[in-house]
Amino acid sequence: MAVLAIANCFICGCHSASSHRFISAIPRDETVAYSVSEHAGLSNAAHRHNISIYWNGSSGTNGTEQQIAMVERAISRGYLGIVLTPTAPFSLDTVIERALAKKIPVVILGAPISLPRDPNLSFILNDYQRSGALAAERIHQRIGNKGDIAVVGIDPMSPGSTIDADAFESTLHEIAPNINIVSRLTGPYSPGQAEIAIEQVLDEHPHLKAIYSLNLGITHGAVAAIRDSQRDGLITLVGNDQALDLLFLVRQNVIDSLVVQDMRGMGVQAVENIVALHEGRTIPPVTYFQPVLLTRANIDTETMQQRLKMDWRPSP
Amino acid sequence: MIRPYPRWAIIAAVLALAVMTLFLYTSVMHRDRRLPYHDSFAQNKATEWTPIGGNWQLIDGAVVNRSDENGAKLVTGSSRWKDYQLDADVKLIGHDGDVGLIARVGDEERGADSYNGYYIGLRSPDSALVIGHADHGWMEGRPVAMLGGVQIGVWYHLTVVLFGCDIGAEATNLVSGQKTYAAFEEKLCVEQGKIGLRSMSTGGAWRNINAQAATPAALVAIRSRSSFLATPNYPTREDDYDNMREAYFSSTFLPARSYRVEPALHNHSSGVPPVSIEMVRTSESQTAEVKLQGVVTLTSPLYIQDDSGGIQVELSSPVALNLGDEVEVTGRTQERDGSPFLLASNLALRGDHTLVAPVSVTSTQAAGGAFDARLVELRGILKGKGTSGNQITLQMEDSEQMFRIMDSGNLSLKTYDALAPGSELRVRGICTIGPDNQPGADAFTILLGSMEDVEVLSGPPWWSPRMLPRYILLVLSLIAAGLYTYLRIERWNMRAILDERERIAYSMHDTLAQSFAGVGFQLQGVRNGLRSGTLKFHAAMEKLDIACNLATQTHREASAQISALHPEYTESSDILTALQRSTQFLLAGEFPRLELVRSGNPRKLSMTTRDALFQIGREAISNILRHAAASKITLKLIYEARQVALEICDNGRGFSYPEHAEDFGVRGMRHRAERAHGKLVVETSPGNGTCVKARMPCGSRFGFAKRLQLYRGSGGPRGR
Repeated sequence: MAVLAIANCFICGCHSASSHRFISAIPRDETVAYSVSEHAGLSNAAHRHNISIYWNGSSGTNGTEQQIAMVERAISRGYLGIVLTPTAPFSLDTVIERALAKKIPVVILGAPISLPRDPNLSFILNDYQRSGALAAERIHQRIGNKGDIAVVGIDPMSPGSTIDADAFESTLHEIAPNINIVSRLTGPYSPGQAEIAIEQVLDEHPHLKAIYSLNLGITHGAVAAIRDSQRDGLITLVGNDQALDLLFLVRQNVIDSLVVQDMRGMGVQAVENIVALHEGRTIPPVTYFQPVLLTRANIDTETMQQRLKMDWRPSP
Repeated sequence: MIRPYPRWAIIAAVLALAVMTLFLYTSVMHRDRRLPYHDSFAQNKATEWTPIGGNWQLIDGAVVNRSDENGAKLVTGSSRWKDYQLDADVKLIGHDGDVGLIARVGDEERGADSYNGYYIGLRSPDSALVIGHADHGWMEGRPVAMLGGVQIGVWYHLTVVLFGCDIGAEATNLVSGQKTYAAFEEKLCVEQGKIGLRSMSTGGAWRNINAQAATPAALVAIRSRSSFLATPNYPTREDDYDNMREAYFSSTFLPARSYRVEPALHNHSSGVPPVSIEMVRTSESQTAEVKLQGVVTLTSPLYIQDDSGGIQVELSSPVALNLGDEVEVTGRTQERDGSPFLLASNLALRGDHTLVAPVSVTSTQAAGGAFDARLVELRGILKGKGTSGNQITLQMEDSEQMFRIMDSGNLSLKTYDALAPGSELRVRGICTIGPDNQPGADAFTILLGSMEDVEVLSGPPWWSPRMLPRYILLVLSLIAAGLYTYLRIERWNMRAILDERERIAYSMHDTLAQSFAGVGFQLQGVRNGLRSGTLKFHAAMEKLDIACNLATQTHREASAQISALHPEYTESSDILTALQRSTQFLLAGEFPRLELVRSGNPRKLSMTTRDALFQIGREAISNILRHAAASKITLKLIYEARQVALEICDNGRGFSYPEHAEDFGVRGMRHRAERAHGKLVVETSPGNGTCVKARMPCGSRFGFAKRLQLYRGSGGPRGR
């Protein structure tokens, strides 16, 4: 029997670490710097609890289907928990509920999607209202009390995006009522589409002073559009979330600032939530983490570098 | 008589067989995965490669990925390859990504960095040759600025050498001849694994892939030309990346490029406003040029799609495009077999990374023509499959329609081979009501980008008419096996019976026959003496006494043998009770005082143990009655945790042991005990009585071989 078992294992190519405890972490885009910071937080916290992180997210095409498959994989393998940043607001509801029905803790990271309350379900979210407020304050600081600005990348399908945009507008209205939002671009654009759309805005509004971009791809398009329009240095660009090249552009003063989420902290908290549930402790259904504004002045501070840290390998 | 095989020999034979099977399996599975390796793309063969994500095709001796997917991979080789040199030509098709090779790969699955191994590639945003380590996360080991930059559409030759824990790479621009080198050593490295191709966020092309055993000289050649790092960078902080960028890319890093057209593809007829594809499809063919904007949904043949519909585009000269590229096409609409297409005069790239979601339709909706040239998704049952050159065709059916799926490219053959007719599939591709669809046959055709767009929802049903011959064969085989086994068992049973008869015959010959012969001899002597008048009275009485004694002894022997054959004494009764009854038969009423002692918790004994104990006990009692002149016999049955012991003791005259062991059948009793995996001990001395003690396991602990041996009745005492 032992010989047959060994032979079966060899032929089937079974893996060696099947008895280890795993948490499945499913980001929206695993390669972007802010996701890597999340991975770092997850790994470091998991290592303290002798847990491994299975990290795999959408690879771009069929992203939602991939995420669904990964949640189902976590369910079938009996993982300790699932940390998920959904690519779409509704498409993963069914599979999440299936995981919850199996008593698998699920932590939704970053996206305030609508799901029925469940003791095993928790949300760890960025304070999008604070994000909008930070951006508004920065633009006010940079351009003064009046001027024309644009808000780009509002995604009606993303609750976080609309909260952010609303908070930006309301804060701006409160602290600088003479700053006019002359253009609001909605929709999840590709960077190329964003470049074309923002070029059009720049053409229509030659005195535009600032742009607030609500997602990474739009920020890339905005930088390209500003450069193509030869308006470098004339337009204050404030973006959301960090990617390595955008952080470089902040250093180069091409981008004024970025509103940066505490993805690393969220990753740590996600693991703690799952561990707490397994230990029978209650957890708050929603936990908010505060964003900060990253500028050229503070990017090299230790506090900011720790927030941006990308060391996802478990600490020895 | 069949000699029993020792247990260890059987186990060794099974282990040897298993090892041989594993070895053969390994050899067969890996017979084509030895170094050196060279691809067969020029012969349009790539069955040894496994796609993981991406949209892979074989075109003109190269393998091409048309997808912008993060981390699309194509893998081959052996997980046991250790030190090797990997060479390939690579080319980027799109922007903002990287294309390269992966080495010492294991644990590969779909995902950007979802493998454990090394990546060596050319990255366009910072024009870098980069080496790094992925382990379901990325660690950038050594980037180097490429001399002359990383150009889109230009072939580069990559040479990667892995020797021990040293990794070196050389990249050569095949147009300009410029070479760039990078190398580092990793302390705890990945030591072995497969090879592969990988692209990130862009399409790519690869050709001339070679892998061969690495030599130290090859590594030295690269190492000496590079700024070798004794420890890879593996940055963990943003400022580490910034420092790395400052050190290697201060002159070449140009982030945030424009996503607009390449200058060479710029549209010169910019005055024509674009129209929707649907308008073009529903209008008559026109001589005037039209401009369309859409997203590439299939590259070969080329299809684009906008919000209103899709259309095929024919180009006068090939353009390298990826799925998701946004294009602006100018040309004239034509019609072929009722389906419009655009004969393009110009094509401009507007952007990329734009995903088009497929529309989920029924087969009847697809057959209606409303989704012609559009990206759709639907389900069906696979009825058949076939290949013609590079073309793979799947014949599909659902409850309403019959349709066809077509795919080109030999990278699909593994997936194709695994598809079983009767499976339910979900497919994604371009729906066409085109020239190949004949009336009365397939309602429409789905053109696939790759076999990755085919998903098996469920396998074929276990029951189908096609499977009937196999099931019949299986049942017949089982019946034949059962019959054979039954006949063998019957044969063994018969042999056991015959063996037992032979034993009984010998026993009767040795005892009853001899005894009757003795009786006959004595009576004959009396008759002859009386007839001749020479026999005196006392001599005649002596002979008659002998004859009577012999007859009595024979009677006892016969009774004993009959009692041994009677099953009820061995199966249903307690052993001591059975032995007590047996002694009654032996003496026909007179016996020494019999004391029965039982201790321990009674438990079920195996048939073998019961039989052995009974036979030993009967033999011992028989010996006592014949030779010991005892007044008391004590039978003691002791149940222990896993064993049972039977002690037969008497207060008779005893004997010298082991000198007279043969006289009293001790060897036979010992043999019976050993056959039951037990032991026999005789304690005796002249004048001090005798104790025969047998101990053996309670339950059945015999292996299969032993059971077989016992069942076939080979070996053992014959009571001679």
